[in-house]
Amino acid sequence: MTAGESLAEFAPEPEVTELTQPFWAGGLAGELRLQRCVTCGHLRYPISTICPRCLSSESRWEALTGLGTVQTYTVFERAYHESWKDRVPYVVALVELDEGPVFLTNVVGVPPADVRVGQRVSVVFERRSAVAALPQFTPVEQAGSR
Amino acid sequence: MTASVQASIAGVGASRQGKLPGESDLSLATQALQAALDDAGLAKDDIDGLLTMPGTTSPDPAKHYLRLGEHLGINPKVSGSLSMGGATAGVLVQQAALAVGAGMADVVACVFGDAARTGGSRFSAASGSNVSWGNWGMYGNAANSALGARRHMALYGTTSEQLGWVAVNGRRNAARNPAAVMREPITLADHQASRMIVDPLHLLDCCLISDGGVAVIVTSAERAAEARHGGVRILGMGQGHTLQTLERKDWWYLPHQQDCISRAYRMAGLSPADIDIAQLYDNFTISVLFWLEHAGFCEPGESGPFVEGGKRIALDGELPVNTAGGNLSESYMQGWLHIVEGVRQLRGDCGERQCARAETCLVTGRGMTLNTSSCLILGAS
Repeated sequence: MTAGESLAEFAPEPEVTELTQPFWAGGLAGELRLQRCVTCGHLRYPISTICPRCLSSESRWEALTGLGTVQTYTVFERAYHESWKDRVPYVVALVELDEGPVFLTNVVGVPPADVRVGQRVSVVFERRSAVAALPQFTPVEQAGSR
Repeated sequence: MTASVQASIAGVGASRQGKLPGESDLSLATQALQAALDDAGLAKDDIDGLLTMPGTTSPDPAKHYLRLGEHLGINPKVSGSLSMGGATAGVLVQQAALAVGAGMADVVACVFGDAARTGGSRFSAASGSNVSWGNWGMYGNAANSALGARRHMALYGTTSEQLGWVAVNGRRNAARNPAAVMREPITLADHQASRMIVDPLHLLDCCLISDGGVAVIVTSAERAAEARHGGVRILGMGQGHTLQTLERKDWWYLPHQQDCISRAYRMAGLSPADIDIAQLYDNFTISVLFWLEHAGFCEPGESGPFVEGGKRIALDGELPVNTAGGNLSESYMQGWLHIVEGVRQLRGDCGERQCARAETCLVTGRGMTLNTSSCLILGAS
């Protein structure tokens, strides 16, 4: 770590705040939830107190289909922190959700070599604590949905 | 409206580079500033502007200007610190040029120093606001660029070998640069055999981590003309920023870089064909490919074939790139040395790595989670 980086950034257990609680709790309920602006209708991610399009602070949480397409990905061949040591190699991907937002996530359930740009994926959840489950994605064929 | 820049670079300087135990961000910045003053033929008391970039190991980085000013005994008319990663050097030189053009200061020193190597900086932080990307194991600067590299490969058929030519080119040039940290020649096979860091980026796709300092002195064109080695003109300046990251679907391709360079071309009244040399910010090899497309040296998707074989971007090629070795092989000074090398090439100071055509040079920088970008178009006097 360099100066200015906090230990929290490396913790595998998500930091749940009042703002992000519905997102993490959604995971426990098996739903990928993001915020939709009540004023202009923009579905946003990252999670924020205001809409980056119209600056309205009025929003509601919405459950998405959990379907998307792999925009791009990378394979971590070495761990940057020891809590990830047993997981390498693992895939971090940008998934373009069917509803629009780009979501940074993992693609799991298949070997890294089987991940492709343009691949259809659907959400799965990894329970990380009593109050948080992490949305990850898996290729649609593997997930058995549809 | 026609914009024009009323400023030039009167001098550049750098400390030793590499692993320098016992040095600090302040001692390295000081050595660089002394070298730049000597290069310009100016004295410390000529400086009336001090703009700084804190190092990755600097305490209280927002007040870095204060710490460095006290250390150097400078009480300037214009000052401040800025942290925009690899875009900072270009932005500070732009701010210096604007201050000189507005008559707020006459001689502005832009200074950087960092003990990143001995200080243990790993550039491995997680991005993300409110929800950290660390939750998904997304750490470090290399992975951001790996995402872009992977998509470029998928869309355009770009290969790891093509990225390798950027690394080979940088090392080949560094071998002709006595001040470079990594001068041992490498081959494409070495690049391919180097261990994978974040697929598709190998170790030799990644920049160094270095201790060092760099300074650039900006003054009026008239005053710079009297500098010891003459001045180098700033013909064009640009910035572009995609501060939203995930909210922008094309963030991976860094479209702000294209905007940034277009703005500088417009200011300079130049086009890609007018550029003799390019110093392109190379935190990772893929960055050079993006810049080549964004600067209009080739069409989108064609940068892989453009660099393949390494001839076009060589010192005697049609567009020499990163002539001192860049972040990959010279030293990782977050783009500051790219400006230094641009100035030296245009003054004809580069010895056995001097390019034959050296009237114009594009210098680019980019930082943070790929969000910021800046560029300068420099011209020989």
